Amino acid sequence: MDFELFVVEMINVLHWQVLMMIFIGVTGGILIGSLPGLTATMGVALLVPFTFGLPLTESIGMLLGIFCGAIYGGSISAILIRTPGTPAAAATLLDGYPLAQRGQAGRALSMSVFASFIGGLTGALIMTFLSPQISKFALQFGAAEYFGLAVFGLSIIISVSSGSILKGLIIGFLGLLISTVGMDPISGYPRFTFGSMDLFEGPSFIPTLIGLFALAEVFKGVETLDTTQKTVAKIKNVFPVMSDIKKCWKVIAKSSLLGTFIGSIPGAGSDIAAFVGYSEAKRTSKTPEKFGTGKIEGVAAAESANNACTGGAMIPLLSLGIPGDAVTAILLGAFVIQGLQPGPMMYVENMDVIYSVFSSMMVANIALLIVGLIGIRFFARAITVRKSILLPTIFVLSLVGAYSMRNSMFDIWLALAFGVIGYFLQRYRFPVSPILLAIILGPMAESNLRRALIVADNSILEVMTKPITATLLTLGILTLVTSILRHRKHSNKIAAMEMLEKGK
Amino acid sequence: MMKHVDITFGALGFLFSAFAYYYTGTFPEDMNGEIGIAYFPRITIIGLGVCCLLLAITAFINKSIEKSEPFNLKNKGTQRAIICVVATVIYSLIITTFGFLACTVVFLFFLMFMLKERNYALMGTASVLITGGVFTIFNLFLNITLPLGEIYGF
Repeated sequence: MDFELFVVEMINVLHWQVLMMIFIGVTGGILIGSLPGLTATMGVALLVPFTFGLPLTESIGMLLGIFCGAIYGGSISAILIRTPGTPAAAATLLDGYPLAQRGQAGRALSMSVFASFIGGLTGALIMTFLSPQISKFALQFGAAEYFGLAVFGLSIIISVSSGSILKGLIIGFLGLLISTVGMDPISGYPRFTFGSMDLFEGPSFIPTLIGLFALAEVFKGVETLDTTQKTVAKIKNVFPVMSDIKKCWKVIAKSSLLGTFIGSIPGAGSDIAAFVGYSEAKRTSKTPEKFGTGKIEGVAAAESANNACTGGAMIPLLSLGIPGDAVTAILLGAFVIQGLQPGPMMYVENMDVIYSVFSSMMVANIALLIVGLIGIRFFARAITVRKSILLPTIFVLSLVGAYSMRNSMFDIWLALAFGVIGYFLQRYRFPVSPILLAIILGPMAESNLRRALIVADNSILEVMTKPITATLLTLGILTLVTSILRHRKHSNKIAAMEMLEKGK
Repeated sequence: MMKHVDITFGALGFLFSAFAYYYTGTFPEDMNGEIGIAYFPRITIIGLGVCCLLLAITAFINKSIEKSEPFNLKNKGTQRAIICVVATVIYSLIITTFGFLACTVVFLFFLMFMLKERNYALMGTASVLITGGVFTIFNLFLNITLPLGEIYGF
């Protein structure tokens, strides 16, 4: 590592014009990310044209600012209105929204921005110092290992299911079945599409998410007419309190490392990282039963993992020229437009640009912390708006968000259908989160299992016994078994308490 | 009440799984490997079917401790939720014809009315401002074309 060059590039990035572009990018990213339906990919794609006329460092700074800002921005609407702005924030709502409902929106938001900052910074630092080494390990991930990763992620279905295990499993299987709708990943044969061209790509994730969470919540609100004002505890300090940081530092550290590593694996995005980080935090917690009821560690785990992913995702892009996901694919395009060709040769020919990217990423995360913390007081006020005004606003914003993904009316119908399904699921105490997990991880599990089996000449044993796959599958089974045992213990405790009550 | 819901849901889920499994029989064999197009859907369908059956059986045998409000069409809240769904269907049907701006102002006003808001000045102002805000952000800043209305020649 050439420290002298790194310092020179860092000084360049700290130039006021570059800083301004980074701050504009972060702010734009946060705003776009917080709007339901507008993903980080869309944010970067929409704002790429603005960077064309800019000098290289400013352009890189702005693009990375948008990327980091949008990933964090998704958590704002997830915490406040139970609608993840981006798929990456889907895991954040599990504990963020219950916290907001208890009047602790400010606490959840400040932890979210703090965890995002630490996660993003960790990702950027690891990217700076270990990029070539990590990319070599990430390349060992073949189809079998991806399958193992998907199964590990899916193993938390039971632990994210409050109430009945059976109901959680039913919803998980339903989600997996929904994820098979559309073209078969290997042969391209349309499955369960019933002749509809709109279903060829499968049900779009964003309208599904919007329907299950946002629209279902509005239907519930209309039914119960709970117009009582949501209270937000007065936010004296926008920083997370010391006791929360003490509680969460281990979780943040672990999730940041996990997120960076998952980000560095091509194809595994920040949504998967967030769920795996959340799952690991819950698995190792002393009070896992409290996850999903408003535990601050849940917010910290999901947010640090998904933002760490931004740094991780840059590793294969810069060192191998492989975009790991849609956002990095757009970034690759933007780099090419600027006359750069990411890949192994970039480390030889354009080391200054590489350091410029590393420095911009670090500064973008600091900008994220500043803009995020300043914004908390404004964001938290959103839920103090009268419910009779807020719910219709969320409703229209959600419908427009669903439409905006593909400019398709079909997606509005899809969101509405999932809204009705989500409403009934909530009404009859079916957990909704497993469906989300299954829709994200199902396609990854299926396509990679089948690819792995083709490579292994249909020997399932060969697929399962690969070292990384075997480790991930064992972890998945352990998570599943411990979740079931904990669930039973919890149910027995409740039953015993009820018996005692009856006895009295 | 929850017991009946679980039995009904379990039974319907099982029937749905049976149909879905039957439907996978229409998928062609995959030439790329022994594990074909129907393999993964069938695993999930079997899992779904078994869990639904278990839900119905356990609900039938045991007394469910969970409680839920019955879905009663005479209930005012249920009626409101249904009206809201129907209004959304109508909104989605007419939005391309009458355009986002006109439809959304009326739709928002209606939803606020359904939520028992009776300050008409606030409802009117909020409907117009929210619609204008969403339109400005998506149409003008983000370049996402929202339907402008076929009847106006767009």
